[in-house]
Amino acid sequence: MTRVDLLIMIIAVAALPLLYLQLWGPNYRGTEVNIIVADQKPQRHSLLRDQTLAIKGKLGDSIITINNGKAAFIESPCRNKQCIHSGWHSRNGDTTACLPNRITLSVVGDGIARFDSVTF
Amino acid sequence: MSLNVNWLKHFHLFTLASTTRSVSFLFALILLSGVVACSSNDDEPIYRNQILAFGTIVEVTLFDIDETEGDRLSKDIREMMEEFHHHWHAWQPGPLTALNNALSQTGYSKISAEDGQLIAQSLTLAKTSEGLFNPILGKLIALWGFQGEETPLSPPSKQNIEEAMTLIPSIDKFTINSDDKGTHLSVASGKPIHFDLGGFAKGVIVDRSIEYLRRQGVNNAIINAGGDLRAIGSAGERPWRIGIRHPRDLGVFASITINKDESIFTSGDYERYFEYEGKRYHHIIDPRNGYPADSVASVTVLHHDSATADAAATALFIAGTQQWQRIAKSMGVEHVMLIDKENKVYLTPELAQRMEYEVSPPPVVEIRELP
Repeated sequence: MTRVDLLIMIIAVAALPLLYLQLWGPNYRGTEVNIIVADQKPQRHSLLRDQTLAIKGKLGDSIITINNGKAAFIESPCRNKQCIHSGWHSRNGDTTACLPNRITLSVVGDGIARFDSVTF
Repeated sequence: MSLNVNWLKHFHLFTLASTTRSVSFLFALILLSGVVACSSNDDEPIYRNQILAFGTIVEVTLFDIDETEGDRLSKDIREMMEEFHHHWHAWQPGPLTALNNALSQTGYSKISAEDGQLIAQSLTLAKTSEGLFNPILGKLIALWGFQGEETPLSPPSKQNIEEAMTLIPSIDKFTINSDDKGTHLSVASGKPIHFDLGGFAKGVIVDRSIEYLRRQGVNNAIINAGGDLRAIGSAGERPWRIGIRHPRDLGVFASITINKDESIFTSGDYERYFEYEGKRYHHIIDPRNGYPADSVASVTVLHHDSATADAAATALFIAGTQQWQRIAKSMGVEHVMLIDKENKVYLTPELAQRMEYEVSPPPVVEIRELP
């Protein structure tokens, strides 16, 4: 192994944490949460500011909490509470909804999303 | 700049294991890390919007379209979907409920040529699926309670299911004729008729939304209606990349890139379900026995038109691991992936070549040729 090889190896190993962050780090983390109520203009809230929001939907108020970079439905007037059961959402592209109350919540970020769309 | 993050991720893992063996790979890695850094900072001109329409979340993704134009197109798509939803709603008063009433009372109704074409298409898909996709299961679906926005709390009684099964008319009893007086739909069953195009209508409206976008000059787009989508064109230099949801996890199980114009529809037992006395009951009802199909966790179908993909995803979910190949062949569907309850994957050779798995370790895969 020559000195040049050794230098390249050192630089490469030093670059790995950066590459890790680039691929799995903040770029996939969301920065804002986009909340849409049917027939209304979307509202955006920063994921960096902890707060609790009461969003009025078709059935009543859904309570959405933003905490430590994550957002979740914590109360909703729907019967099955699937929106609440979906848990916390923090990655760019994460989406959940309370369809009975006509409210969707999606996480958006500055970085690239891993997929352009998801089938489910 | 073209960027396939997923490929880079795998390359990265491989290279970690090879560090001490190959300086060349390390050099390549450094170059690639530069590519990643540049690319991920580039803002791709992709317009994304979510609208509530057709009783679900519809995601509109457009390449190289500004926000004003994107908002206009989204609004038009939403209005088109809502109108279609009202027209074909099986449970709220409207044209389809009027048609169901007329067919139940007199066995006949005059319909528009466009409606006749859509019903004829649904009946053809029902026949090619050997009745596993069935557009006249309305009474049975209503008995289970899956027709509303809220999922039911308990299953119906065995007796009620058996009774509902006796009221399902045969697909062969329907005839559609067109003459100079119009299009005529008649049924000779003597049973109450309840068309419910739920397993097919979403595909039709996704197709129509894409046709609308093309008429507007948009050739690079994705319309995703509640997890079922059609994608056309590309995201500039790179193809659209689609994730396929893990049936037992919140993450993505596999991914695929779109080749110019393709629909991807998935049916899963996780979409709408309730649990009663420790057992899960989901919304995909087997027309042969009146109970939720119980063989697989999800089925993904890739096809050029959404309407066929929609009906096929439902039919192949019900067909399960033993019969899906025969039904797929009969429906003219070549790209199919089934995931069973143990996460074992069954798929056609055509799809196997293109699928990338996003789970670690990769799943057990069985490739099966269609007959």
